[in-house]
Amino acid sequence: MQSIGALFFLTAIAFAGLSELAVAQSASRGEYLAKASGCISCHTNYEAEGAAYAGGRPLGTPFGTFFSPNITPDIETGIGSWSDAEFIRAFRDGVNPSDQHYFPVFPYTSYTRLTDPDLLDLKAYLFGLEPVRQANRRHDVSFPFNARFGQFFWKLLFFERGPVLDSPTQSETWNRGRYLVDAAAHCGECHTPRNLMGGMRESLYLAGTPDGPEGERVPNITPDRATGIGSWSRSDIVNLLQTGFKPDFDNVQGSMEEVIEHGLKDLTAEDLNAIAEYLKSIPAIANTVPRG
Amino acid sequence: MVFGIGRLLAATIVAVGLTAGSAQAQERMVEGEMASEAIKYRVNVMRAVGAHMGSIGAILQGKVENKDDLAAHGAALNGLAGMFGDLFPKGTDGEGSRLKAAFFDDTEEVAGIIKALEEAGSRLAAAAAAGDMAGVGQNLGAMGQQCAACHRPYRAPQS
Repeated sequence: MQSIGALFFLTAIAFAGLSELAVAQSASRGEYLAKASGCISCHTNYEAEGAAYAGGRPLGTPFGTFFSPNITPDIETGIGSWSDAEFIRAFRDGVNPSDQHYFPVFPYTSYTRLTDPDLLDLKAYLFGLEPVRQANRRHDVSFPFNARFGQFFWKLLFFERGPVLDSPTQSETWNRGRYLVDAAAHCGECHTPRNLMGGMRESLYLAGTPDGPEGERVPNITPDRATGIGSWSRSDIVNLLQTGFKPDFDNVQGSMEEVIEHGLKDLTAEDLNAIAEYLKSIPAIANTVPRG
Repeated sequence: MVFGIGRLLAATIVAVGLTAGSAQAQERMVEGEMASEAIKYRVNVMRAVGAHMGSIGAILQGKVENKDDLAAHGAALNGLAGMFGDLFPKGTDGEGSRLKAAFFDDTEEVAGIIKALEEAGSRLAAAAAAGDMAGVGQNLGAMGQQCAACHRPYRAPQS
């Protein structure tokens, strides 16, 4: 009798250990995904030396200035009370737990392509952080752009709900590259020019714009030889994402430097190669982005 | 006695002026047409640096076979690095330039970066002349680091 009890006890401990291991693994996968997705860049107010992921960073757009929310697991001021389903819904549908639409300055239009397991890994990571008590700031956006219900119509025009299935005719590497570019790193949110309503112009996918976020010039990263990065090799692309250096040793600046510094430089060589392979495969678009 | 002290003072001032070297060069001031030409000149030098660095990079990575050109590229970069002391006269920040005003306040930091750039350029030229590929690669990277060390704080992002 005692030995059965002991067996039961040991089995219970083993299962507890296993589930803890499973949670630990997914939180570290979540941390990697957070780096690829650039969460910390927008959700941290660096200028004011704010706490990581506690929000408050001003994001200037043509529609006004938005302030990123607190995504630490604080129950009152952060996302600590969110369920798994609510967390997934925020990315998949661009809607918060109170059923209000997010403004697309939160790039749910790209994050909708992330898979459920990946999103839950990300949640595990965020919920393992120290909760920071910091209330969210009201966005400084004027009517009609501050009316969240208006997003309903914007979404009808410009939002395609994910996730996206792998293409069966392409390699695993290519599919991984596309996932990283279109879902996690959301490159198109900066590198694809937008129309007057702020929707992406898909015919100019990744072809750059002189008037990107924060008013910065965003280059053409299609494989066009004259106006894009067609003359770059895959290793040139990988090297840029690891070091911030272009093939002529000029260094990237502005938001892209942040993107590399806060995340992309820590991706595996395998993943960076996948990004490079995908970028070399997309349509080459001749689009000269004027230098200011 | 007054004349003696006056001459001593004058001689001291001249001596200090002569030894100030490249630091004094940054005290040069230009405006108007001269300023925009100075900016253009600087941008061209920068482009030349990038072009030679890119060429060396292509040779090292085996993308091209022009190994015999390494010495010339190294010498060119060494020569270009030596120009940096005179590329930033006052008045070449602002309109038409990405140079930030802080550049002219941080004289010590800037001097340090330029010196490190010149040293890397000289080592690069020596390595290239000797056919020392590893040395070329190392010092190419070292020069690149100095480019970034200045660009990061003193060059505004492109708008």
